[in-house]
Amino acid sequence: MNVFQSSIRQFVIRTVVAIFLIACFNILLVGVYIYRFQQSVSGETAILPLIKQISGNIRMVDNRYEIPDSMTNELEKQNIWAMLIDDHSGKLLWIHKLPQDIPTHYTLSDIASFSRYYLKDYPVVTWKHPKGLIVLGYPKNSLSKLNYIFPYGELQAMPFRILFLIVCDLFILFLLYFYIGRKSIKSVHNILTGVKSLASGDHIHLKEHGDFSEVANQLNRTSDLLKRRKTAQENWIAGISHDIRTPLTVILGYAESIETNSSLPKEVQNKASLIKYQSTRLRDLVNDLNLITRMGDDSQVLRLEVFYPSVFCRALIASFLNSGVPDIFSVELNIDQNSEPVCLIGDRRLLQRAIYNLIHNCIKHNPAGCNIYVRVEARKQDILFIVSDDGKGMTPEEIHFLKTRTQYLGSDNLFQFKQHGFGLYIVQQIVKMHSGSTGFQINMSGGLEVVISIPI
Amino acid sequence: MLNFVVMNRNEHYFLRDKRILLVDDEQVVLDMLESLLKEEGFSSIFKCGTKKDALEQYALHQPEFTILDVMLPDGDGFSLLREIRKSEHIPVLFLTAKDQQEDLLEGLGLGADDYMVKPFSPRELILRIYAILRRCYKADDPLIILEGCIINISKAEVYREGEVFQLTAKEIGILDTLYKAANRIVTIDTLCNSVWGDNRYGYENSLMAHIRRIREKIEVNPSSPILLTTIKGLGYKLNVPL
Repeated sequence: MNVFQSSIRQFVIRTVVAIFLIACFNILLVGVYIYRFQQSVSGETAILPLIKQISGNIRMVDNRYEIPDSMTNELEKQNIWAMLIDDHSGKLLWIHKLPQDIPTHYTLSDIASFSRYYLKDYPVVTWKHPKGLIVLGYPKNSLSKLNYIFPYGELQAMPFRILFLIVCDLFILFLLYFYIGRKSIKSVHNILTGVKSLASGDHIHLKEHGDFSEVANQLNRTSDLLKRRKTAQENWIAGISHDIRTPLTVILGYAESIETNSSLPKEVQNKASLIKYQSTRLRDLVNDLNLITRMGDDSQVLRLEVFYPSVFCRALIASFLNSGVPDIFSVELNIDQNSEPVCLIGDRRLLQRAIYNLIHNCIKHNPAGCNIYVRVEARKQDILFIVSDDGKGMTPEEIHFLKTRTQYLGSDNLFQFKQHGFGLYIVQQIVKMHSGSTGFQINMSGGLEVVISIPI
Repeated sequence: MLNFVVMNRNEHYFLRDKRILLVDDEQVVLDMLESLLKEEGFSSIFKCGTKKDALEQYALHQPEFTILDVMLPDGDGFSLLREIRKSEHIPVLFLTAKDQQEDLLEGLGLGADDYMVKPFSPRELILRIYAILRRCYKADDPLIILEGCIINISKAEVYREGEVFQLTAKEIGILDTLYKAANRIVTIDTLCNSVWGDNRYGYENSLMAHIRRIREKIEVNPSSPILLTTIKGLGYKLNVPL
């Protein structure tokens, strides 16, 4: 799972958890509310128990109805007025603190009307009594009376409807979430892609708009800074190598001049030869350093050409021999007949460098001399360039190191490269750029054999 | 004297008489180049370190060959070449200290005859200078003097052991190509290309037949050649003795 999917998944999980917590909180609140409502309805001072008590305790004393003092006190306390309406006449049989605007005679329709709603804006509750109807009138605006009539079937379907409603709500919530979040996700995606590119060393320029414009701006600035540093590094290396080249030209020129001057003592000529050899090493090092810097950030773009590997190798070896190879070395080229008509698409200059490095390595690592064999073979899908020698070869540990070593510029173990130099690393990189592979093995004569395989 | 390249006396003097202009911003490089060329026998050498000086020297001495550095304090070698080429076509070899400029030199198509990246092998520089000079300047009667035989390219004749052998056009083409790279390996591809054009593939057998016939004319013992040797798997080399 990539970073983007993982972060989106976490975001969704957090959202669901947040919704769940909010729902729990709401349910808790509703529970508390219902409990308190129940308390107000069914508690001792609640409406129904009070009117039931009055209805049960109102007595005729001396042709007058009376209620116990405790109930009178309760009515007083809650500022409630009360009356008992006669069943037959509609007249009032008992009153308590009856407001002046309340009528003293009621018809059936009056009773039906106020029992459901209000009496002169007073919320009233009623209860039956053997003589008539007990009415308690609460202060105005103290109670709300709601009357709903539901068809029975509708009421039964209510739980399913509520469930359906919740599902619909959730669906709408997620739709909204995706709609609103899409833009943010897009911005996040751009940011994440940018970060990934930055991590792999590429230069980025993100669009600076939307929710994450500030982040994009910071990333762009970071990328620019890295690019500037990389360019400065490359320029520094290029500058150093440029400055080294001039003195090297002079050293190499005079050294070769002394080396070939037969009028000088042999010892002086040998010393000049040594100076020339070491200068050549320095020159190769400078060239390798330049190339490796350019390859390090993938700015070295392949300049693809179509060419015959056979012709290419003949020219390369001829040029190598023409530039002067000590007599203790011999270079032999063997081209498989099948590979003669094969064409290759590749960067001629870089491949030339790779094979040159391999031949040069044979010379470098076998100072006592050796025979160097270069072969070109055609396979079904690949062309093979094989460079081997009958020199001292390598230990299995060294071969293992070559196969597994990390990128030079990303390695913190400079010791490895002091031991093995850049030459083979450059070969591996060039071959990799051509989607090919490099193999190392010990040949029959005990020397090293390097096989470069490039897809045709 | 270095004597990297060995030639017959005619051509020896003919090419080494050419006036050479060296342009480089580094005095030590100029001195080294002058020393190399003088050791090789070149006598008319002019040096300068700036583009301005180079144009003045060019007007004054009319050099026949120029070695140009790419980076100069008051301009670059490319623009200098363009200015020089306005009036006359003289052969030019570029020296550059930056290997990235190899690409530029190849891509520019300025018509430079060759280029070399510093630091270079003096032996290779001298060989290339001769190759360019041979290509651009031909002696009136060019004779190739080999061990035991003389070849007259313009007359297409080989003189050996008192006999005269006639050379065919193809044989002349092959010998000319080999001689221009005297003592250096010339690949079979280069030879086929110079004689038959681009289509290299399939001419190897014909080339071998021509080489055999040339050997019959120039070698004392054609089955054990010493003048025109085969470099196995690569090509041929014409050995030009002192």
